[in-house]
Amino acid sequence: MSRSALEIIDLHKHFGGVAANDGINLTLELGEIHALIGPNGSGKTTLIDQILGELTPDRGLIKAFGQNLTKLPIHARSQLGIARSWQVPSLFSELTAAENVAYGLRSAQGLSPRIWSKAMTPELSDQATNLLSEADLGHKSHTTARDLSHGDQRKLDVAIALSTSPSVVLLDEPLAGLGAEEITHMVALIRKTRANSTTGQKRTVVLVEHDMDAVFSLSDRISVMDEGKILATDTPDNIRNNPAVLEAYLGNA
Amino acid sequence: MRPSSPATRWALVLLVALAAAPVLSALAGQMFYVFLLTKMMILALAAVSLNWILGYGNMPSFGHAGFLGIGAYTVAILSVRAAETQGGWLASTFVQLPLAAFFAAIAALVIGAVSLRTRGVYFIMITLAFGQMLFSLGEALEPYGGDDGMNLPLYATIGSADLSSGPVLYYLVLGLLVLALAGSHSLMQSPFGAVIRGAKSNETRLEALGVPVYRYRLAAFALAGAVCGLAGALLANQGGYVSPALAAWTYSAELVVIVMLGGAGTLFGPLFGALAVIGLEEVLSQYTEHWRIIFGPLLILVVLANRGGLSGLFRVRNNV
Repeated sequence: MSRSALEIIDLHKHFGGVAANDGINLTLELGEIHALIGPNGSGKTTLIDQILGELTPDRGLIKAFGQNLTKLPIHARSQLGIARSWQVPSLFSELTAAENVAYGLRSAQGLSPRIWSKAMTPELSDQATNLLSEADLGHKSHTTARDLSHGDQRKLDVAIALSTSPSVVLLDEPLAGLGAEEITHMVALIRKTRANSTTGQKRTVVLVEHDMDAVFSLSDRISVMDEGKILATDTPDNIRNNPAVLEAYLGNA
Repeated sequence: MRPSSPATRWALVLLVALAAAPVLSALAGQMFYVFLLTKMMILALAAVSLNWILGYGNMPSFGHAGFLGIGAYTVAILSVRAAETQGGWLASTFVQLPLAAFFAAIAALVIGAVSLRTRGVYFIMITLAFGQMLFSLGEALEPYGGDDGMNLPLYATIGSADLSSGPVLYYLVLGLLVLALAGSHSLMQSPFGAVIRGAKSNETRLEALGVPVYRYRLAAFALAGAVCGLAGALLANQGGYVSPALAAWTYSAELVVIVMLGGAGTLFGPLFGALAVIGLEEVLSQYTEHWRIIFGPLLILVVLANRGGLSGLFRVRNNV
């Protein structure tokens, strides 16, 4: 068995009487693109929230590279290599695109935020533009985030997630609300995302997405969720032909 | 913030005018204005420090005057000791001001460590409560005048002079204010300042980028407390008098008004705000003792008409 990137063991999260995550067990292999699909309310975002640390599980464990994350604050998980994008792009809206990605770049270089130096050095500015270029935003590096189009804000959200040079990237509906051409760009970006240009190692990508064409073309494996449980985890071909999955989800698509 | 912005040009003109003011006052035989402008600049210094947390960092502290109180009482206690023991060094400005800043920073570390675990209205309430605790502490200090306060037995010395001299205190305050404004500028351009501003904009995202936001906020809170303590020490020497009122929540509110009126999160907002508040108070109170009846609506108008405060006013007028 190859070394795993993330291990989720018997994870439970309830909101009032609703079991948003009801005993999730999932192992993510190093370097795979793993899609989470399922109807709205099936618990995909709740799972991602707990992996990053925005939500604390009621029960269960989350491990990254063998280390227990369950009790760690968000910033410590980021330092261990976990990053995410949000369903609604989560930006520093009054800052430029370059300034948005600079936080993660400084973090990744282990630079403590000093008092007597400039936040934006020429080197950092170049690195920011390079990263933004990967997301097809190089020419927008001096545009204020809130002035970007919806599609560009999505790209920026993903670029920010990549700025810490993470080993595990959680992408929450990166294609939502994009036009056909933008989807093509974003799918290419996600494919590129897996190759970590800094370390040369492959990144693990968790992809929550409703666009089935994209999911089936990008993923190495797919997990299907419904009512807080994982119905099946398998390769795209096997998922396509799984009768339980067809009934729960793909059937109504 | 940009070096060439109209607000910056106005601020530089104002600072040059402030540098010339004592000379002009002396020529006109109106030394009262030196006294008034000194107070204005001390409040501007306190407001600069509040602006770091309230304006840039979205930490709306309503107990900031507590640090004025700590700075002022540090000076009072040292001044009494110096008078008792003839200990010349205890009376030195270069001992009193750093100690005032130091004790205010320690208090701010403790208060911040608790308060910064909360957000929004809870943060306002908890800082208000800490401020009132410091106010009560001042009232309880019977050897130092209790709720009546006390006159300083000695002013802080600086070389062969002391701070009872209007011009000496004036230029010391002006120098410190210019330093604080320059510090404010480089602080907010620095990676540390970027974290403080980023946390105001999107705290969760910043955490998700590996930044332990709480620690940086606490550092900013302590730094703001230290500089406000310095302002408190200067205020004690300006009036030659300390009282618990310096730490009262009304004083905290006045600092918030100065920051909001001048333009929260702008470099020179605190300077404009302090000038406007002290100036209006002086002018309006000549017509009526109920000057706040006029001042209140003016404040509401400026804040409603222009979210950027007075700094924003310059920007808009020059862009049209």
